[in-house]
Amino acid sequence: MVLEKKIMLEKMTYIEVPEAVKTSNGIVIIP
Amino acid sequence: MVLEKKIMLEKMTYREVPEAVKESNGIVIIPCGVLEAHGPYLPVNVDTLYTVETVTRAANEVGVVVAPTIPYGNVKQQMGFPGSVHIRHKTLINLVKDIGHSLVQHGFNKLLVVNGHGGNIAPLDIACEELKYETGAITCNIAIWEMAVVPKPEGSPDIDAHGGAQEASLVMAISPEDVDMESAVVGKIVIDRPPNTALWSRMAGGVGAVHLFVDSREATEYGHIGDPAFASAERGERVLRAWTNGFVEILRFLKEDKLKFRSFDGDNR
Repeated sequence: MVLEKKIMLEKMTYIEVPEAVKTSNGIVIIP
Repeated sequence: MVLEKKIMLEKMTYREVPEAVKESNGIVIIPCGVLEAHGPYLPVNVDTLYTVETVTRAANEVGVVVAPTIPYGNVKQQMGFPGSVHIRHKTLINLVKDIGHSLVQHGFNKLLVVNGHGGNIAPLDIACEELKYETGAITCNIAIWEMAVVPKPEGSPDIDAHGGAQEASLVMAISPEDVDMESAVVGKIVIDRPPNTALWSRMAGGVGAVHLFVDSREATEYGHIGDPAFASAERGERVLRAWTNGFVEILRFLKEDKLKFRSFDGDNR
């Protein structure tokens, strides 16, 4: 589970991003 | 002395800023990175990471102000890989120009845009040139990776570029937990190209007479170029030190007002 290790998009590899999108159910926050 | 305590503009009160402008002799650095895929084993903030690290080291050494980092840029060619976030040239140009005008209004007269990404060169050149003529400030667009060339380890492939061993080394030196070596693979350029040709934006390294515009998926299999086996934190630290030293020289030159323009009659705007 990517989001258990990291939530910051900038820290993810492109391999991890699709899994993070699924786990986040498509939610991304832009502060 | 404000700059002995802090160099980041965002940490200053409005009372401290005029003092910081004086101590910095009008210099302010605007770091500019990107959010862009760097192969399957590196985070998408590689360019931002090493730009901020180098800028922070150099600015602390010389005593100049650093504005907040712009984390987005032109990464159109990498949009095929998840996590890349592209902003249009005109968006980046307008953003840098609006920031620059604000900083000049508060007394800064030397705006140094420090860039970590080849695809940002063109829009940042335009922003810096227009800012010069609109504000009268000294403006520079600085490619941080050009500060010094550090020799590659023996046996390295000829081309080590985007997401290659040097960039992996930099991440290992700055933020080692962000490198996933289990996912590391060799990244090759998979197209033939005419002689004297650089794949814009410098994916192939170096500058050619011909800038061939390609999508990363057209030229590579995994979105990066280089062999991660030649990466190490020690190599990354050597590169960071070399780049910092090169940038420190530029900062000192400007801070000591050694840049002398010829004066002339008439309007230069």
